[in-house]
Amino acid sequence: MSYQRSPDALHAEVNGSLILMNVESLAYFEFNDVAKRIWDLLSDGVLSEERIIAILVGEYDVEPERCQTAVATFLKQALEKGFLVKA
Amino acid sequence: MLYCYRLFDRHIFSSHELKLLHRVTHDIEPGHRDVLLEWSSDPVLPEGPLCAGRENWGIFVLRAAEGVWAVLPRTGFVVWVPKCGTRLTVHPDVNQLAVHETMALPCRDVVNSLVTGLLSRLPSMWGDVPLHAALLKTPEGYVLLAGMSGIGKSTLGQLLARRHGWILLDDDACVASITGGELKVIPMGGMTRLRADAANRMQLSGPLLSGYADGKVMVQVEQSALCLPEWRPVVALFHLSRNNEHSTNHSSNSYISRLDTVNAVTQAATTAIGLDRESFQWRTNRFHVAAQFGKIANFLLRYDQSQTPEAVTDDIENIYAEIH
Repeated sequence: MSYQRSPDALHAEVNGSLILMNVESLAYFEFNDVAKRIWDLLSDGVLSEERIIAILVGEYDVEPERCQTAVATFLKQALEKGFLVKA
Repeated sequence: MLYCYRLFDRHIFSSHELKLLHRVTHDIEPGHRDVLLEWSSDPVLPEGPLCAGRENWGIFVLRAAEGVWAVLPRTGFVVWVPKCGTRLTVHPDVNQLAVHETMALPCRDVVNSLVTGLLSRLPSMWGDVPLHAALLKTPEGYVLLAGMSGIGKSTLGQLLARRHGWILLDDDACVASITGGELKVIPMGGMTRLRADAANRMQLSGPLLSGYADGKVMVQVEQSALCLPEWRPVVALFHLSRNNEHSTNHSSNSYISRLDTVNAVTQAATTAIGLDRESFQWRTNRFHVAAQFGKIANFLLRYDQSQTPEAVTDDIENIYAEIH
């Protein structure tokens, strides 16, 4: 499955935090560091879940299985809140 | 007599709302661009407040001794009922109804409120973000007091000016924008004149402005700032709210809390007003302005009626001194 940023998602860097708002739902959300990194990775367009996991495993000291679980959880939440869409 | 304000070249009413308005006003066919103020000495609607349409539309029609005023929901307006001296604040969310139990001369106030409500939202048409907040100047920069109508922006703003030497630039509204990546806030500017002009054109009598909440001498608004606003950094935003639970212990500033970043951004966004709250562009502009406000100190004040405005302003000043 591949993902990209939702056109309804606005983001801003505020005091080191990444704050997102969905324009339609008006939901606000604050991303943690890993979520911020995923958001950055998606700045260039579409990425698959597998590719995201591979990049993060290369950048962070984390086991692939744990990374996979964390990424899947994030993607699910980001989809539900309308910050990402399936490509 | 019917006054029809045609201020906008865009639709601010939906077709559904127009049907409702037509039913309310009986004898006219309002247009999409009209804001209607019916002013009749012989109202035909039944006694008492009347809620027309579905409740969550927030459309209220109030019969008053001197007229009927229909207001629409997305923006929120102040409605004055001269007969009983009651003022209602109509918000898009009708759960937020504040009742001001104050007596006042009605005529000009109604027009002032209507015109203020409309004109203060106009900057949203050209990309700025109007804020429902009092604006004060301190030596360090601008401080905003935000909150719904009747919460005490004017009262606290006046007291901060009198007791602590802050300069009151606008007691109700200001305009925010982002220029070169920086947040800029200026007083709404010219509202006093605009309100007076509107009242004069409609040949209404009454006080020029509705006056200061505690009836004491008003501090003059800094007129020079209205003509040529200077740039100063925005240093603090205080969100005023009412605590319905009565508290007897106010020996500390416990009713004032500093907001974390995401709550500061969220709360700041609620301060913004606009003509078309559904538009993507307005929501985008509002978000980016709110994000800028998230970078400064945001405080939430939840006070109750047992606290005097003087005490609250002293606490605001103390909190402000601590962050500077």
